[in-house]
Amino acid sequence: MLIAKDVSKVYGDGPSAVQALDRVTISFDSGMFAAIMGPSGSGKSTLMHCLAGLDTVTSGSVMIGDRELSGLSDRALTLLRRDRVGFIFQSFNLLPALTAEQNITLPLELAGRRPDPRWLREIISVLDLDDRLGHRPGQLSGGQQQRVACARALITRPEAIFADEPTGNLDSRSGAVMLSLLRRSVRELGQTVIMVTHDQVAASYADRVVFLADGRVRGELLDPAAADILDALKEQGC
Amino acid sequence: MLTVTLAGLRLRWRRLLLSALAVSLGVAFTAATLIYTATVSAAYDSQYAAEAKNVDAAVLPGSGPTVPLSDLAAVRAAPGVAAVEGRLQGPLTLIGPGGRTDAATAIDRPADPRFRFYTVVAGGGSVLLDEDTAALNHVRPGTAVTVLDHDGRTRRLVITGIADLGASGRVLGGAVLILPAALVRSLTAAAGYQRIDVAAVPGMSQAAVAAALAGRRLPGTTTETGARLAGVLAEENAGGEGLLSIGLRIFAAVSLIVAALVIYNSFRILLAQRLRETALLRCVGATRRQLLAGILAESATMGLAAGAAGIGAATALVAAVNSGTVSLTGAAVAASLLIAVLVTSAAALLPAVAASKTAPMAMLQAPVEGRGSGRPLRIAASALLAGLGLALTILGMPRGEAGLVMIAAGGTIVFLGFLVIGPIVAGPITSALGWLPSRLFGIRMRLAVTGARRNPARTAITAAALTIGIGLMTLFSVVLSTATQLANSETNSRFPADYLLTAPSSEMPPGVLAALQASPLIAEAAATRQRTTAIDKADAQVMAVQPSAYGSLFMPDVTTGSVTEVGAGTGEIALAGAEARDLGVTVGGRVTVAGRSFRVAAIFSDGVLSEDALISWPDFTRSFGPAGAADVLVKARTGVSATASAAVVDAAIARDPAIEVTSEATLRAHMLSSVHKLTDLLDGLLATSIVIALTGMANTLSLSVLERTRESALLRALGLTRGQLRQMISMEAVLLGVMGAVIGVAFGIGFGWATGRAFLRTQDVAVSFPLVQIAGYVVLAGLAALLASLIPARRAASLPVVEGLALE
Repeated sequence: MLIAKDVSKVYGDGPSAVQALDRVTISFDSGMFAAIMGPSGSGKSTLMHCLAGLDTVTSGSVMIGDRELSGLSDRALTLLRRDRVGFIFQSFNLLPALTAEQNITLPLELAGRRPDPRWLREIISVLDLDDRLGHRPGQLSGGQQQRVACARALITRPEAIFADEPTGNLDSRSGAVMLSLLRRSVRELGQTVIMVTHDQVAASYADRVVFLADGRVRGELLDPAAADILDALKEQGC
Repeated sequence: MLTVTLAGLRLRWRRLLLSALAVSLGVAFTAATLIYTATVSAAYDSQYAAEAKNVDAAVLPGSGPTVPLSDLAAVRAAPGVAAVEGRLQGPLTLIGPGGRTDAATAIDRPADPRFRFYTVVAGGGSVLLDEDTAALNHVRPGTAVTVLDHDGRTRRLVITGIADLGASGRVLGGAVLILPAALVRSLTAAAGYQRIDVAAVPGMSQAAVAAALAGRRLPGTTTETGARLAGVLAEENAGGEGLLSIGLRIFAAVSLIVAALVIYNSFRILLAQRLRETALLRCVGATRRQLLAGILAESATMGLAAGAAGIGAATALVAAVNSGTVSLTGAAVAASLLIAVLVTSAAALLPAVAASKTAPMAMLQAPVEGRGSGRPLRIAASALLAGLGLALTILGMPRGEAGLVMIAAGGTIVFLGFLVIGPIVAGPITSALGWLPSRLFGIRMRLAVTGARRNPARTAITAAALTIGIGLMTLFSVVLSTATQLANSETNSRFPADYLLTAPSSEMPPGVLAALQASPLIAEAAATRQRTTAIDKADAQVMAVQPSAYGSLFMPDVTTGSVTEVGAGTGEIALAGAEARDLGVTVGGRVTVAGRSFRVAAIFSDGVLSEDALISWPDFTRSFGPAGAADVLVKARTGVSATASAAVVDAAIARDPAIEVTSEATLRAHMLSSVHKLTDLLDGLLATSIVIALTGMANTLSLSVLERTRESALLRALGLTRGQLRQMISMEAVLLGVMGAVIGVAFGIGFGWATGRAFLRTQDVAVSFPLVQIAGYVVLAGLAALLASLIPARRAASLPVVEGLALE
């Protein structure tokens, strides 16, 4: 369960201050696949960063599970991200010098823990990475790299996985595979996924779509089809 | 194009600042070396040429050993001469208050104060003793000393002052007495002047007054200007320390290479960072020529500005290291600026040309820095360079000091070979060095290793800058340690004992030997007996030494046979080479001494105490009857200072002031002090190199951290704490530092050995490796790297994660 309550985020100060989030209150249930949509500058990335403990809020509160984020030190936030949050980025962001397997287990290594071999095997087989484990990112296709990133996010069994435009750098086929995998990890592995995207096809894989504009929540759809999302976007002038 | 360049400069001034800093550092390194070299050689020359202080011209002996005393008047009468000083010098023997004798040199005290090259540190007056000898003999102003004059008569002198002679004291050697000219002549019977020094009247040039002197046509003399005299003196007096000036020149050449490395590296990084922008300019229609011209103009400007800053920094640095004294020559400044502009432009041009060859669109997508290609070519070129360098070194080794230049050139070429192969071997070396720490420190260290392996070319160049510094330090430490050992062994082999006590009545009071043997500061004391007696028919000096002294106190240079049999045996004799030749015997032959027949067991080249033959102590007693010691040989324990052991000896003979003491400790103290002064000079130089290596590494790390901002942010997002990130970067730095140091140490040991061999060509001393000190250098390099990483690490850790991730 993720809760943002009255969250505001202001960048800069004085006349040049930018209000990225304006008293946003929203919650995400565990075991759900949610998408956050909105045009550029709507605050969707900022909201994700605040929810994931990557950035601090100006006011309001964020809770991941039973943990209140505001007021935590940088170190505590880092440890919280390490243990409770997973990330998937648009540009994959794998470490080029590590093999696929080393990239997957990196968050555990950082915590000084050993991977649970059964869980690792399960993730690898779900993501179909069995014969790619020894390869370095440079030897993998975009789709494969993003699947490695997905495995890396899953390995710690996090409270929530945040995916920032996960299909943005993929062709449509690889993108579709990726999105199905995210949905499967919610359905079969019981994960919580929150995805930021501006692609309505991608958003249609989600159980719930939240629309953001000008730093505020403008509405949401449950179990939407791509067409519904398009309509909703038009309706809100996005 | 200029507008674009300027706009780019404004926008990226932070990044440019870092590169400008790197260029400045490179130039500062060269400038510091050039300025330091000039400063040190000036100080060095002025030290050794101190006797030429205020001398505008000098008349030197030409055909004869000295300048006739009668020439003084003629010189004084020459036009343009303001003051004249005839330099007298002669040998004396100084007998200290404790009865020890020292070889001394008497020189005259110039009547005109401007010619006094020494400084009086205590007392005053006209009878002065050098500082070192005064300290060793506890002489203060007012203390009376005894000297033996040229006729062997004792004369009492009351010392009125103590003088510091600087390097001249070492040149003259032993004790130095500065006395009024008349006294020097009566004590040493000096028959002429060493030199007549002249000061010119104001406004007259050195050349003019020298010409005027030459115009007097004094027979059997030559004339020099003061400047030439200083040069000649510095060269003559420097002696074995000529190594230093060669070392300085080598260091200056090497610093050029280091500077080029640092600048080249930072420009590669700088241009790599701007590749996208460059590509964009090409896309919108900038020609290659325009691009190159822009980069060239920019780099030359930057080189000039950074060069000026570097010279400023270098001047400050040298002043700091050299306690305020700087001699800034125009040549050093011009050379530094030229190097700055040329190297910067060349360093900028190479990657710029490569970049502009790529198609614009490819550049937009290209990875920032390509992997170096041409692996077989690199290996071949490196093998060729290494072979060439080693060949030069091996050829140079048997050539003594002339070979040092060849060894230096060889070392430089081998190093260039290492630079060429660097990108290929840096990765594996990093992994090998990081293997154990990775097991110990876990993921941070493993990430640090991958970080260092990512761009092997840059890793190699960064490490190389440190390699040079550590390599030179190691090399110098090997050479210096060998030189120290040489200084010790030179005195040791001549005379292993520290003191020789001689009783005038030919019998030593028995208490003296016992008192010395009882002292904890004395390693060994042994008695000797000598007698002039007939061997076969001819008279010779026959000696016996107590058996325990063989091998430690008493080591005649044996050419054939074994002297130990003589020491303990019965009926055996060792003969000096000349004596054996005169007698016509060899080892195994027989001679008769005092009516008894002895078998010749050994031939030695030179007598330790001018003895002609050695027999055992019991044989001596049997032949000449029982008696006490005539002489006593004394050796202090290792590590006991000359002052402390001299005090013990003084105490032992306190009741018998007639006993004469000859001190080897004095001579050794003089020799070691010269080695230590050399060490101090080099330490100043190397301190500069360490500071520069440190700042250079900080700079490279900053740039590399900047490049990896995104990756650091990713690691932070995934749960790497700030502390862990800082540690990771520090570990990478330490890894780099240790790699540079290890290669440098290997280098320094190899070429230190070669230099040591060349330097000691004629001596029978092994090259010595101060291993603890060398290990210390590696630790020092690691610590320096750690220190250098603190600021870049802090910068990396302070960047907000979101900002880092957003960077493209």
